[in-house]
Amino acid sequence: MVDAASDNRKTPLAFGSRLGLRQSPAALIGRYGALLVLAGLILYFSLASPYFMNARNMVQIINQAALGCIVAGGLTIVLAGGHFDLSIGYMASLSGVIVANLMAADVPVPVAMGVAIASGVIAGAVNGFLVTKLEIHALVATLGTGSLLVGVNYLLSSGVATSIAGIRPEFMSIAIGNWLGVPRPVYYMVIMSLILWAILSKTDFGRNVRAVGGNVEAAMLSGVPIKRVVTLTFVISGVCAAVTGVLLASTVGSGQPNGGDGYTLTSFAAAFVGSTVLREGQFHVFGTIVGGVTVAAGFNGLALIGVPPFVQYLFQGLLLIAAVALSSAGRRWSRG
Amino acid sequence: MSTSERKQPLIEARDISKSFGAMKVLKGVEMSFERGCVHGLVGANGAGKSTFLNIVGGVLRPDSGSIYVDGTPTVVTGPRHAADLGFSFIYQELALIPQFSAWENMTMRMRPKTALGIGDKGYRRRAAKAVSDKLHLQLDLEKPVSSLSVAERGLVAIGRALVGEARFIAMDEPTAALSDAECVRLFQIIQELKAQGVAIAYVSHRLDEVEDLCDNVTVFRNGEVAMRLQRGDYTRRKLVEGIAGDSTVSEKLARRRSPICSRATPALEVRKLSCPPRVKDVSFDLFEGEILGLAGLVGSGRTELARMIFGAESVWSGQMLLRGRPFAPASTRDAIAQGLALVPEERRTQGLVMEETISFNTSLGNTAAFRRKGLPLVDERKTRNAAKSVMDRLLIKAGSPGSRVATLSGGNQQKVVLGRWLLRSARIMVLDEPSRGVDVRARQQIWDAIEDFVNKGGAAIVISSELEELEACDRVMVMAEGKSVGELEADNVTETKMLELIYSAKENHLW
Repeated sequence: MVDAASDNRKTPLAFGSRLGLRQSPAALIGRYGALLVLAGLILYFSLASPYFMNARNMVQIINQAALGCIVAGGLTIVLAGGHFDLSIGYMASLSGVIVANLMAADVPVPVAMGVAIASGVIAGAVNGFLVTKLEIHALVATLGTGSLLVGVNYLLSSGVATSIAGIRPEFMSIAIGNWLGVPRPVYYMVIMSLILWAILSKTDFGRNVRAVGGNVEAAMLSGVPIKRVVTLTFVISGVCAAVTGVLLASTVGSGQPNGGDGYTLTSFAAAFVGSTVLREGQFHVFGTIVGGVTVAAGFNGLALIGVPPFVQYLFQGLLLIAAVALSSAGRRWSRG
Repeated sequence: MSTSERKQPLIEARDISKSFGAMKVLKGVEMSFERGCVHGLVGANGAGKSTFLNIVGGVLRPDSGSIYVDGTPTVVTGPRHAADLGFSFIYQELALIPQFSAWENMTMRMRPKTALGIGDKGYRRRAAKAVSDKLHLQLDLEKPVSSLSVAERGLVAIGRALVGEARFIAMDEPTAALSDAECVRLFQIIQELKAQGVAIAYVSHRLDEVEDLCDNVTVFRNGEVAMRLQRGDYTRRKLVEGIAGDSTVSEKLARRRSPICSRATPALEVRKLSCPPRVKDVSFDLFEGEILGLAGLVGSGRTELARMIFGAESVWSGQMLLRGRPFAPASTRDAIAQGLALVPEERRTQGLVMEETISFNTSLGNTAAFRRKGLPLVDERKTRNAAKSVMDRLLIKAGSPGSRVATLSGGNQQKVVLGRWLLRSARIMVLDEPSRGVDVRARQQIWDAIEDFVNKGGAAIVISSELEELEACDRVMVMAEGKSVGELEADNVTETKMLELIYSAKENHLW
């Protein structure tokens, strides 16, 4: 009777927390704060700029967010497994340089793309090896590989952009242009996000990722192959970064030696903002997309109202910090 | 101190209520703590004892009601304020800093300064040493807490509460991580504190302790005071009834020794297993259909032995045979694949992914069984149904398989860990402190499940620091300082005989 009674009192809470009902205002902010921020940004910029609130600009914002969301989606998997990946931006840059240089050297398009994406697999595997076998903290390990990737990048590119504009129209058409009025990158984002969402939420691998991220010791004692799972999360993140690099090269028509570097910061901002969306403090792919769109909406709106570029960095930094603060507060509140 | 002051309780709580979201955890609780008295708080998990103490300690604020200290209404603003008031706490969840040494952890609240205004480390060290002598601690105070065992950490936490001058000490399951001998020492200290006029709140699931120690007892049930008893007024039966709210639960574990245990086929043979300094030359057989108890003091190597068998700790020397075949697990995965299971010592940090659901946790690590045919996708329905079957079988009280385990009580959480292994058709199960911090009813249910498991041809090893609990085993092996010091069978499986063996080996070392 004792258990039954105490749990009858507890169950409504568990049920309520699923729906987000019957929670204190503080907990509601923890759950819906990020969505409120997005709504607030949209409202503010709609009032501040006549060019903000229209279908074309909305599509434009999502288009701007698209590539970043693919990198951030990969990062989300690593974060869900309890680690970090700081090398993703450099990986995206390197992948763009590889694909551009190979194409400039007359390598067929599919082969060039394959090599670029394979480089993401390798970088991810190296990260996984450093973290699981050599037991280096992921922050340090991926900072190190990030620098290695920059080195390889400059070795290949000598720090100069490789233009492919005009040489390979079939490659350019991958990411440029619309389909049914929507820019192509948006489709890639949707496809990649669906795949990543399915991996994290629907597969047994994704379950293991969440177990490792939630409690490594319990996962180990239950027979989850920790090292394999963690290594794979880094490989996925490397592949996502490499795919983004390829798409970026296609969009801009060249391989820019540091074209993707900025993705590291935007991805972290997106993933942490996303971790406060609907689930307190847990990383999930849908949330990351909301986060990515929030970052892009902010950038777009700030550009439209004509503030100098430094404000964009202030915005991104504040957003990242606020998101982390919110997500840890959300975790605290959700525990009561 | 005037007589009127002496009569006035040190702490008086009036009409304290507290809710977490929609859940009312305390409903108008009234209680007082008097100087020189040990006040026992008992009740099932989730009855509100810990929440009440957290309010007294300033960790939580009550929604309504007030606290009087020395007759003055006082709002305890935080743990620091509580410390200034002379309140000391030994919490259930050990709040120690792993990287700090034992003495640093013990003296964290102290801020002595030297003449130069610099922190006086020597003073703090000496204060820690004094307490550790008082407690007869045998651990190296310079060692970081992370390198200590769970029991040693428990002792450090107790030591911390004793450093400095306390007027009120609240102990929340202080003996949960201790072995019987260490408990005895703690009880002596409680008597000394009592004589010095310290007010003590004592929370425990171990009713024998409460009976021995407490001057008065308050029984909590569903956030309310269900019963108040004075010394001499309470019996175990009464306490158990108060906790359970009905009279059907017997406090003593009910178990008949299994008759089907045939000694013909050892399920597991362990020969001279060693991993010094924790485990030395341990040999034993485990038969199908039997529950083997492992008794011993904390730090006697029982947990390490369990982890070695489970492939979670390396084996230096020795052999194991599993159903007659050589067995040397390379990893926990390997051990699991060969039919072993481990219910670890600390369910929160080692057993469960707290933020996830029951079905997530019962299927943890067992993804192959819950896969859709030919696809690497999780079959949600199968996972939920399996969790549901475990919930029915082990009487887990929760809304649905989708309830988060963090919202369950300790006993139900432990059943989730146990259920995971029942779903994996384990053959040999090692349970490390399966009923720690679990109420009497859930403990009986857990033991019923273990019995059921061995009656179906399984074999179980149970580690417990409550020797009385181990009387329910078919056989008990006693360990001391990493060695096996004896085995008890049949009618010899008694608390007294176990204690005799433990102390025969420890006599020259312990105090």
